[in-house]
Amino acid sequence: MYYPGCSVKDYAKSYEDSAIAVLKLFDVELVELDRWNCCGVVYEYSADAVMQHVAPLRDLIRAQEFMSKIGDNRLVTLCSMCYSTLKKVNEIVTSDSEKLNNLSEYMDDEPRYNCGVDVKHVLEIILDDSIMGLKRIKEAVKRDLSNLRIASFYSCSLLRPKGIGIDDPEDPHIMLDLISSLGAKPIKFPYEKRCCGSYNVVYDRSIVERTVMEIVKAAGRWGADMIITVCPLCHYNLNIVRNKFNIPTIYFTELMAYAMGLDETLSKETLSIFKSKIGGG
Amino acid sequence: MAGQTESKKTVKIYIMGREYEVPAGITIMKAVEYAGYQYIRGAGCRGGFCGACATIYRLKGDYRLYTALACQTTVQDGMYLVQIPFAPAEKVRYNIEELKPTGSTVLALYPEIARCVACNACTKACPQELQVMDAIQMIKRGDIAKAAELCFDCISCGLCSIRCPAEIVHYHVFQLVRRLYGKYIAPKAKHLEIRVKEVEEGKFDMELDNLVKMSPTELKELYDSRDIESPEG
Repeated sequence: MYYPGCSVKDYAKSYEDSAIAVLKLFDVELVELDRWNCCGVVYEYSADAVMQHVAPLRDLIRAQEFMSKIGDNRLVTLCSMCYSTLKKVNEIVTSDSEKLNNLSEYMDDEPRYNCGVDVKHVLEIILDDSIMGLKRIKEAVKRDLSNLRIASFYSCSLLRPKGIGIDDPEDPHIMLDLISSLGAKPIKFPYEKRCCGSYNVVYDRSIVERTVMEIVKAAGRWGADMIITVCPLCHYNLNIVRNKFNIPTIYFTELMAYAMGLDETLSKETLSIFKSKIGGG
Repeated sequence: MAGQTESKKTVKIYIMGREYEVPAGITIMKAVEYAGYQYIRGAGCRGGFCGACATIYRLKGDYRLYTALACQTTVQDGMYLVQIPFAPAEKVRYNIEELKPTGSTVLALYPEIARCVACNACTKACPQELQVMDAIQMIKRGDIAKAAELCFDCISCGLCSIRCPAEIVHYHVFQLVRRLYGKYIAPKAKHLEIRVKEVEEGKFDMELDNLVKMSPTELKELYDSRDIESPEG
């Protein structure tokens, strides 16, 4: 099952296109939920109350209804904010039946949630040796990226909180491993797990501009040609200063698609980024 | 007298708190008139299409607030009801020629859409049984065509908007969405363009002039001798 999230359908369409193409190459099919709504991130992240959990729980119920149709209880997201929100609420209602009861009272228009959905970030699928794994990814690479130096930017919601995050929040490595497997040079830099400024961009763009300036500048000092990320909001924020430092931020799946020669799924803009960085391709 | 022996079934309803005994099986709208009220607002087509007779009610012993169209819903015993002929809301002014058919366009004009928490109160309130919340969600993800499809049967009764905790004015939003769809996304009707061009070029002028010149008797004759399509063809 696949939960896209609003960003991935609109602003971050290139994330979805490249991810689906890469996974398809490995016979992994993402089947989009036939009905879904916003994961509820804005309210979910604000404070601990009932209303904020309604949207994510409704999505979990949609997944529960859908999973019997495709015989698979794994719900995959691309956007790390959607992942974090759905995963967290899934854990909350699974471990706290009183909370689930409270929420269900507000949602008497839906069947009860049985806590049987397994929320996954797409990176977990990609790194799982029984599904894809780094070894097979290495084999699928068709382009020489050895001159490309790539920094990874993890996004808070992929690493934190502990238990929800899918990598060591202090010393993450999965994106670096992926970059290595694709044959490019991974750049580990000190700001890889910093917050990009998140939704502050809506209220005060200057806060975010200051933050991403530091991040992207540092990536440049550590020698990166480009940055990869898992989060549409990080992507948006980091790209505010892309021209200042000539360091664009792209989705990690776009890098994978390029490495594997899936050019037809990539936007002209993304292709031109690669061309300018390695020349010709 | 015949019919008098038949026991007349009635139900008790409460219109704005006052008790009335009305015949069972009639619509809320007829019951309100039976009770002696005269409609000045809040009644239109009486056929479930115009959305003028939005009604809210509760039933005895039930905490839920129900919504209905008065002309489409039969009275029930113990119904507490009131009609809401108008859902107050400001319609944002825009020039459709200057807009792009995107989610951001709609969000910029009606930013409260971003406050949707997916509580589904709008969907539960809709007397047309539309997937109202899903339509709002389609706007958030930028799918104007799907949003327009989901809200196609909206009759602008406003019941969703008075139930929405995010205070979205769905019926105005949906009108904008359908206009964007009609202007920018829906396939153009080519035959219409051709016909308009023909009209402008005067293809039918002579025929029309002839009709104008005809006497009432001649017109009647022409009308009576017209081709009538029969179902058999």
